[in-house]
Amino acid sequence: MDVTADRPSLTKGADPILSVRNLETTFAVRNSTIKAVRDVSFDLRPGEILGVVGESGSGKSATVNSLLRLLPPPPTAVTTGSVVYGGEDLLTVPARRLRAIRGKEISMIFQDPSTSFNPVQTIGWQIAEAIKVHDRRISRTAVRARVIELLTMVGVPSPQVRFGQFPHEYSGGMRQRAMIAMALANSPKIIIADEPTTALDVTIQAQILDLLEKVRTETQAATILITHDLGIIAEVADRVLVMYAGKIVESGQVREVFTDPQHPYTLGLLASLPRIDTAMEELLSIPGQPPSMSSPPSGCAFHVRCKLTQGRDRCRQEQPALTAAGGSGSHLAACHFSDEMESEAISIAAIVGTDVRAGTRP
Amino acid sequence: MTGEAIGGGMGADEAAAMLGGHLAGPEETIAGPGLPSQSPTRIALARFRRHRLAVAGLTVLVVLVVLALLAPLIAPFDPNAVDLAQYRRPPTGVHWLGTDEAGRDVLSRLMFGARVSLTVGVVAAVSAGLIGLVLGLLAGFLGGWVDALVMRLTEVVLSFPSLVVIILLVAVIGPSITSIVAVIALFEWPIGCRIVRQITRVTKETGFVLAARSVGASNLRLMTRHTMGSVISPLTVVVTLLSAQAILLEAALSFLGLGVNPPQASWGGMLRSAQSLTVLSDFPWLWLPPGIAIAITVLSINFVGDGLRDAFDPRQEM
Amino acid sequence: MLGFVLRRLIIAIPVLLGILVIAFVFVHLLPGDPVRLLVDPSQLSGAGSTQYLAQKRIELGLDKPLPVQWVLWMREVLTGNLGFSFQQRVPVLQLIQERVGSTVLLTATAVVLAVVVAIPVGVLASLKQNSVLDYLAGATSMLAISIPVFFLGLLAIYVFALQLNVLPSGGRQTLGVPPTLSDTVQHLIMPAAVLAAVLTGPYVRYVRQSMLDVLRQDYITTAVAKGASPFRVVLRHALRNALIPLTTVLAVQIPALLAGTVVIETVFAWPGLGLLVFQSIEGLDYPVILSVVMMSAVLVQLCNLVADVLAAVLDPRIRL
Repeated sequence: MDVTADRPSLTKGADPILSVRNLETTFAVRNSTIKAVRDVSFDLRPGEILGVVGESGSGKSATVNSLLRLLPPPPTAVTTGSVVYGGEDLLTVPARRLRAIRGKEISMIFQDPSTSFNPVQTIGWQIAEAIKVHDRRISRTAVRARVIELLTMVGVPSPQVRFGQFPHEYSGGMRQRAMIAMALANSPKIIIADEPTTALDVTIQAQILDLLEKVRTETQAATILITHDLGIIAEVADRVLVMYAGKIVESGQVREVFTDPQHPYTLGLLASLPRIDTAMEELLSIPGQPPSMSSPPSGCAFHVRCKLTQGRDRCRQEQPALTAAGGSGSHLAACHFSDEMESEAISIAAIVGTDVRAGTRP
Repeated sequence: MTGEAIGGGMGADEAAAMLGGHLAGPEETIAGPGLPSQSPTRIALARFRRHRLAVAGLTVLVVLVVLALLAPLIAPFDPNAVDLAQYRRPPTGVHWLGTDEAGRDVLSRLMFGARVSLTVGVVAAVSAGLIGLVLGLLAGFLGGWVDALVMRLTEVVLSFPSLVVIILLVAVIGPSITSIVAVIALFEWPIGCRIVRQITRVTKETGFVLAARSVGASNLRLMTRHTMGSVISPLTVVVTLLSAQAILLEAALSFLGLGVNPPQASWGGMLRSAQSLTVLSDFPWLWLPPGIAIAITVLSINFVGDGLRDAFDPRQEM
Repeated sequence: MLGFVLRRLIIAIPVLLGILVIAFVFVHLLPGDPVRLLVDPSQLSGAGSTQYLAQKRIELGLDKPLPVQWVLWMREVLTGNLGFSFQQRVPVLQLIQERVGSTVLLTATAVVLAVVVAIPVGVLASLKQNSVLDYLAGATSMLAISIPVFFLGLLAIYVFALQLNVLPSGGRQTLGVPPTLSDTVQHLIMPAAVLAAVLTGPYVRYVRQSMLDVLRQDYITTAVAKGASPFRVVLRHALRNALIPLTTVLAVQIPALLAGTVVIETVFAWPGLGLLVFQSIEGLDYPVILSVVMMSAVLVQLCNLVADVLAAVLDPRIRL
């Protein structure tokens, strides 16, 4: 896992293109509410790939779906906070304005390409639709030419034929390529990819990741990449947000977070990641279950599964704030005892036979 | 014809469609052990109670059944007593709902008519349910040619518009409560049958039936013991909705002159007089009460059916 | 396409044969000699009728074993010999030909009306789930399913023909005046609307449920994320998919529709096949009833076939 190499397109210090502040999303379910997103704030910078990682149910998808208001309307789902894009708050802009942004300036790539395409329309029709809803005057031939160009760009062979085919006539990997083509249709400023490879075979996954990197290089679009797989983050992301129980527990440059994790959950994820670059004697799984989102644990939501807690009341009672950790200004973590991480990493290294932190090999 | 939602009825086939979708299978029956206080029956009961319209429907039905049972005791008049002096009198303090063309008390006839409608509804629906249960178990469990035969048979039977074919049969064997019940049962069983078959097939594949078979339980014991549990609740819903269907069919038959023999009172038969425009325009008390009675009864049963369906649906969370 | 229809027809054959078996059972269940159901009753009176019957029995093969009889009887049926009406002493086929047009007019109008009302109502109810409109639509559908058709018809006549006096109470045209289109339409409105009301109830429930299922699908979110308008999402994406299962539902309701016509045509004196059945019950005219029953069953199978083909056309995943 090579995360120490410099990323050429990394743009440090540029003004954020998307600014999320205090995002909270709550779902109303029969007799209870689920707090899926709890006080999430982050910036997305132009041209970067921001990875968001966490277990299933940690609020990753709810976070990104909140950004474009893709969740069911209130009272089912209620989102508060702000999502500032180009000086406008996406959570409050009029529906018409939001529609002009969706798919045009910010587009989405969904997890399961087999269910995310309308089964009764051709792929060509569906990609063309993404163009036509934003440009009503464009000619039929121009749309077709653009769709073929997009399909060619994402590597769909014989696009002329593929244009007229239905989703069920595509393979899984081809469908995800088509989905990416659709997301690129209007040359968006931001692409949000929600677990884009989870539903695919491993070999196809690598191709899709390569494609996403190629797209970033060619279009310079900023990308939010959601995944539960740290390996994918290590491979393609510039920065990473680690989410747990609806909150960001750690964020920073991928290099910082992987070489010097400042939250025990991140370390736990690293210890449970199978590696081929280093000899691990065993994988450590994080004990316990992800917390219930209808009644998350008090204090630090991770305390029930955390080895640093050691019965200390502070973990149980006080919610840790996301503060600077690990020395660099960009690296943040939400743990009361991140100064104990070094010894924790060493004790894990003693069990698995190697230091799971990247770039710090014995 | 594909899918499971095939049926001639208006309510029961809907139930089939919705039940066909989830097919509880064995979860319902094995959900119990870990949580003794949350037995499936208790959960279903709690859900049913929350369904206000269903509770209201059940209340109305109970009142109707009591009225029908007690009709000989509480009816103000003999329903068949002809009194030509009281020819088509509008409602008065004595005859609350007036009198008909033979001077008979409409209210009393209405109460006795309830006995016919409710008997036909319950007996025909239960009989249809039983036929469906037996054939469905056989088809689902034995599979092979038995299954194919039964399934084709359901398709054949469902092709006949039930009212029309029932008309033909009743016309041939002569109208009576028994013949109406028998003929309705004979043409309304396929929906229940399909649901039972599908659940049986699901249950057959689950571990505990295979385990029971491996220790030597006979096919018959397997069928009865393990499948009944999961079959019974969806079948109850179907039978409930079928009874609404049967009441409507009986009413239509009586209205067309193929119902119970006069002078016996039945709701559909009472409406028959309204085929004359004179009665329709000048004597509304003769036909409005039985029509409303049928509508309320069927509506109540349908609400109860809806409530039961929601109550048994394991997809719903408490 | 043709291959699909052929394959579907082959599947229907055992069912069609089953229908003909049951119909044949009816022929033998009916009181009297089966041969009387198939011959011209005008030949049956007077001298030589016994001889005529005996001759016909041999001609029609009714002296042969039952399975052979069935085959021979099927040959008669398939070539259009549905027997003679006891009452009217004319071939049943001729009676049916006279009446079928009226019934088709009535049922087609009712189905169109029901679909035109049910789709928007069902769609709106699904979009505004648990709203006043949703509850209202649900309650009305439930009522429509629960009220006996003939009672609804009587109520309609009572209100619109007898009290308000705006529509004729029955028949297909005003007697004694040359038929005009507006006259026919006036006669058609009530029976068609009542029949439509009965169909609309279940249709609304199905449309609503089908839409709710579709609106939960991932591709709806995809369409929204593209920037498509709600209007476009509902019409081009949701409805198009929701209508596929509805083709089956339309077919499923056909038997109910045919049963409904018997009652409706009786109530409104609409001169179609349903009224023919009612008149035949009173005269115990078995050949007529049996023929209508048999035709209905075949028609139901035909509608199922059409529905399957329609579903295949709408859904590219079903291979033609």
